[in-house]
Amino acid sequence: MLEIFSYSFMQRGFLVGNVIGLVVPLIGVFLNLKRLSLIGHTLSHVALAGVALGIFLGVYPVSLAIIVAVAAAIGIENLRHSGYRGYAELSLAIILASGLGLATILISLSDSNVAVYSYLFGSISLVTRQDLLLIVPLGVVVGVGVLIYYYGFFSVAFNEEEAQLSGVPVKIFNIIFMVMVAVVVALSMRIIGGLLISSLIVLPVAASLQVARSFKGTVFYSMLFGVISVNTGLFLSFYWDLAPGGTIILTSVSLLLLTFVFKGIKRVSKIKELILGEKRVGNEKGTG
Amino acid sequence: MNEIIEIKEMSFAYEEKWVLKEVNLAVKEGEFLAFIGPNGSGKSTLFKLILGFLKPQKGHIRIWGKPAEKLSARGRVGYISQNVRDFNHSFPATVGEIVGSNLYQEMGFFKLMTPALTKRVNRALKLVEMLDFKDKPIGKLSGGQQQRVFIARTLVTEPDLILLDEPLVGVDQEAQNDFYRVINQLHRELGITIIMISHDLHVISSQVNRIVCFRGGKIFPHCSSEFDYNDYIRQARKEDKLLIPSHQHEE
Repeated sequence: MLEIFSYSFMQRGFLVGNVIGLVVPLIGVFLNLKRLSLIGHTLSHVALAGVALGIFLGVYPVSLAIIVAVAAAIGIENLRHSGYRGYAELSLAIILASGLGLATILISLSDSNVAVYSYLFGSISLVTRQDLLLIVPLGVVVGVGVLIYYYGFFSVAFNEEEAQLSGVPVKIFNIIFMVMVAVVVALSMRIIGGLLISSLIVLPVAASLQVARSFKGTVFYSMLFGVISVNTGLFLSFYWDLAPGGTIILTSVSLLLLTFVFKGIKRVSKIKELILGEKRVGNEKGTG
Repeated sequence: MNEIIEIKEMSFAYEEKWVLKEVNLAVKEGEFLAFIGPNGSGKSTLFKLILGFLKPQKGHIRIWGKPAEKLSARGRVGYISQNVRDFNHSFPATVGEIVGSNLYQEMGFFKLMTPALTKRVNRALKLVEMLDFKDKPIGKLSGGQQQRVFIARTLVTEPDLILLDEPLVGVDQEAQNDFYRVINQLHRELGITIIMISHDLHVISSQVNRIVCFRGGKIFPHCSSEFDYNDYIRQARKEDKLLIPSHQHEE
């Protein structure tokens, strides 16, 4: 067995990391296509208020982070469809400001800034058995839920009006989806960190969009890139003694750059093929 | 022929301004109708009322004898909205995925695409001559081809009534001819009732059974197709300024 797996905290880290590496990009596909990619950033700041409240009250911080993030997600959804229809980013900014304001006050009131810091940037060595028992089942429920109702979420992301006509309960889907986003963001704070979670929502999906040719392909590659990023990031962070959250994100960035290179090579080879084809036709005409 | 839509003394207002006033209209099974009129005259609003997205303040709209807002058989009505082609053209979906997703209601609890449903997707794409494009990304198609994919998306639910809201805006002449050929085929061979909103009276009058004109919140269910369209628009705009301000709502 590799040395890395002989540590129980790393075993827990890999288990939790893989669940997050699969579920976050899966949710991210729908979020990015709904042009709501910044929601992760907003909810992680709000969830931080929940963490700070948990530390202040001496309650398990992740559970309070989930509750606060879910309330904020429902608030964003309501603002997006009522008060600020057509200005989705305004509703995000309002909730972000409220959450961050509250978090700042609660952090200043609690005397454990180190614990808050671990939720801001993620800390693999602090993943507890309690985290495992909460994150793995909830992550699996969210992942399976999205995959079962895949076509419903797809229709809503493509065109809400037409989705409603084809029998998709759009309002319910939007609220359930936002709740799932909130849960996933709050769960991921433990390992990726609140400040970095939005990167895992965006980067694997951005890389996937470069190579996929269908929606199913986009979902598949996003999840694949998410898992590769998490596992590579955890390995590198362990052996090189780096921050796991940052290493995971930089691995995602590297994967994105690789897809750019892959696409560039593909484009150049297509152009070469086209030029060769034209030359061949020219030569045939010349000889004929 | 049976009546599919029955609209009686129906009025609808956005906030405090009447958009449609005391409208009466009956649409029979198998008809191909055109709604024409200037912007803001209530054509798209009437579509949304028929679809049950909006509720009239006065009178009633019945579809197959039931109030439109309680229409349970959503699959029987196909609708292509005015802004359907304004979708994100980078949306990473294939033609097959776009058409298939409209079968959501028929996918069962686990929402799976069964072989029977895949056959329906293929049949719908074949009807609009787009089967060869099934695996192509939707964003890579031309405007006319996209329009046909959206017709297939509507057809896949096997509707008895199709509502088309200005489907030919921004589509070139060749694609328009193709569109009318496909639509006429659906109307003749499958007997689907079609209502289409258009601004091009000269073209649409040669394609449809009946034209319904909209002006100043009123509708004229049997417009002559030979009257001077430009004069009609000029007159309608004058009257609409008095009755319905153009900025009041967007069609």
